[in-house]
Amino acid sequence: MLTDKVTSVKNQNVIEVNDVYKKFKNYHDKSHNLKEKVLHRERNRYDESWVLKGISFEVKQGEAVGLIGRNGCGKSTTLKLLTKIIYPDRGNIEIKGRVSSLLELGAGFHPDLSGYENIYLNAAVFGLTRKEIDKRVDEIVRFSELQDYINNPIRTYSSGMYMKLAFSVAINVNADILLIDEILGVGDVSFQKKCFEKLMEIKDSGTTIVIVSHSTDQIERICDRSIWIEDGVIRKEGTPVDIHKEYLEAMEERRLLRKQMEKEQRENAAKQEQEKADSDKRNRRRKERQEIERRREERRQRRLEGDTGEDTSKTLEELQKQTASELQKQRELEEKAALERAKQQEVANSTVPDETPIEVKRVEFFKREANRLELVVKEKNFEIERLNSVVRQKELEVNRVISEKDAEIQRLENVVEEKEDEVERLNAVILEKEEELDRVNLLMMED
Amino acid sequence: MRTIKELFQYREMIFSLIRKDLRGRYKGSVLGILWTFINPLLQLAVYTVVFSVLVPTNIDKFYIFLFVGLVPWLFFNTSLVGGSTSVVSQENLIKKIYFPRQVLPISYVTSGFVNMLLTFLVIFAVLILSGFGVNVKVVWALPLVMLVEYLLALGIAMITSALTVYLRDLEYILGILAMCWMYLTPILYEVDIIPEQYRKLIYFNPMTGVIMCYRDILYYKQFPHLGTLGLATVVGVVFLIAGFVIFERLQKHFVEEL
Repeated sequence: MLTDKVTSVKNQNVIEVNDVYKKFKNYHDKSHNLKEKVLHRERNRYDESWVLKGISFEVKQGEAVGLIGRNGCGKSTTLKLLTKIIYPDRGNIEIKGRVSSLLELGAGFHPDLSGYENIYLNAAVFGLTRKEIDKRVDEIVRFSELQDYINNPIRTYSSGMYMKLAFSVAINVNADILLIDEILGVGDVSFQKKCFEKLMEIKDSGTTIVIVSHSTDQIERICDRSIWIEDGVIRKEGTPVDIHKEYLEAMEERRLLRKQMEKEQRENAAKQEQEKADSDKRNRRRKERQEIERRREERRQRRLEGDTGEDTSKTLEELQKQTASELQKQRELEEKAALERAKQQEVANSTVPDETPIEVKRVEFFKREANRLELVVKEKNFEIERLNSVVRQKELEVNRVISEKDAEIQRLENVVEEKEDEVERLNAVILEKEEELDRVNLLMMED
Repeated sequence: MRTIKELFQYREMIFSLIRKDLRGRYKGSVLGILWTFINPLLQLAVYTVVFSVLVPTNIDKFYIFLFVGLVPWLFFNTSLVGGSTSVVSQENLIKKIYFPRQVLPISYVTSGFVNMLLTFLVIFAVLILSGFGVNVKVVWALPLVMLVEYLLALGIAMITSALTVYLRDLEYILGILAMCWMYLTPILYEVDIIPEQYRKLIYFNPMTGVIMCYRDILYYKQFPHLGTLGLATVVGVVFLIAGFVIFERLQKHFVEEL
């Protein structure tokens, strides 16, 4: 069946896609069983989205075609349609020859079976007969570079080994048409290179290849033609180099546009934030101003009442009290002294007629006592004098401090007033600037 | 036609699935493949005890009467109930890669069929060892009857397996349906016991003819009634064609529905 594909008619179409439409149903809440289907009819609602909206193209025998487009444009769906995993809703697809797909590698692999047995299993899934597999199995094993592990169950394989084996089977199926979806990333670099070479070899032997890839570079190296799909329709087709240039430009443009849009969104969000912050600030400023007003009013009130501070007056009062008590004592002492003197006089008067030694002694005693008391009085007087001077001194000091503090208060009040004026002036400036900003924004929006 | 050609191309896949199924069926069990033989023998023992000791019937050698009908029925039952999940259970494969989807019910029914053939070894052993004997003049018709049953079972499995993708409940509904169907098929009884006025109705059951043919050949040791065999064949072919047509229509949206 694989006789000389190269010599067969080169210009024959092996793939014909005619005006293909494909829709997907996106169920809101998919129900599979009878109860749900009957009881919850509303759950069976779905949105229909047309993934492909009329795609037509042809691929000739031996041609290599690349499908490009951004995610969700429908290129993978197209490939799935080509493999017949899914069917178009409208239009038709004609394919001549055996199709092998490198869409999902390792389909039907059984983890408990050996690599060797899985080659048979997997190749059978591709539609090879036993004889055909027998013929190819050595080549597959050789290509996979897994000779040493081929009899181990594949659950023991690393994911790289697994992919190598799967790829080796898929690529050695010798299909007439090979469909590839983003898979040239299998294994290590040397294996990738090998895959690539094998692909070129397959292409040269006349196999038709359809590739879906984001790597425009890979497509350029393999493909003769690129088909650019966008939003379910073919936007353009032609030689890979030309198409890719345009495609990349469009993608870049799109990216920039999206970036721009995102930026604008971000800016809008930031602006709203800023406005909120601004109004907060304005409120805060208003409150501050009110507070200042209130404090100023308070001060004014206080000044009117003549209240000049508590501390100085208190010490003054104490001193005055002290002085008063000293004066009291002095008076008492003077009275005492006067009493003594009167007694002495009396004694002297009474003792004149009969001057007995006892009487004399008593008189002398009283005299001495009077002298002593007089001395004490003098002393106290002196003390009083001293305290009075202290009081005066303190009074002076207090007055000085009071006047000093008053001056300071006056000065600080002046400063506060100055600052408040400045704040007011700055607020006015801010308001002015804000108005200006609004005006500018308005102008920008109008632009 | 194209589908059949493609199915022929994918024959190795069908074979490998059958091998996998037969090998995996009793995997991990101690007795392994022996269960293929033990299972019907045990069922036979149960029915024999019930119908010859607990509820005696007047049918001679009832265990043989029963056995030759029961084994073909069990195959049909498996195809009907188990076959319905043959597509759904291979969801991963279907989503990933293309192959003619008919491969799945075909290989399922075929592996059940192979299993039945193996069980028939037990039947023949019982027939010969019990001294009941086999009529070699008519036994050649047996493969024909088996083929008719196979076509019928396959046609029905195609329909149920495709419908189950869209309605998962079908698997359980079919379990009940199969039980009813068994009692509406003359396996445990002779058609004659059905009252005259209902007897015609039982012939609408496609399995009636098939079971009667098996019994004619193995129990009554006579060639099946040509009318019965002919009708069964036609019904089998009709079901197969219907199965293919319905499956082909329904399989287009398998991937979206799974």
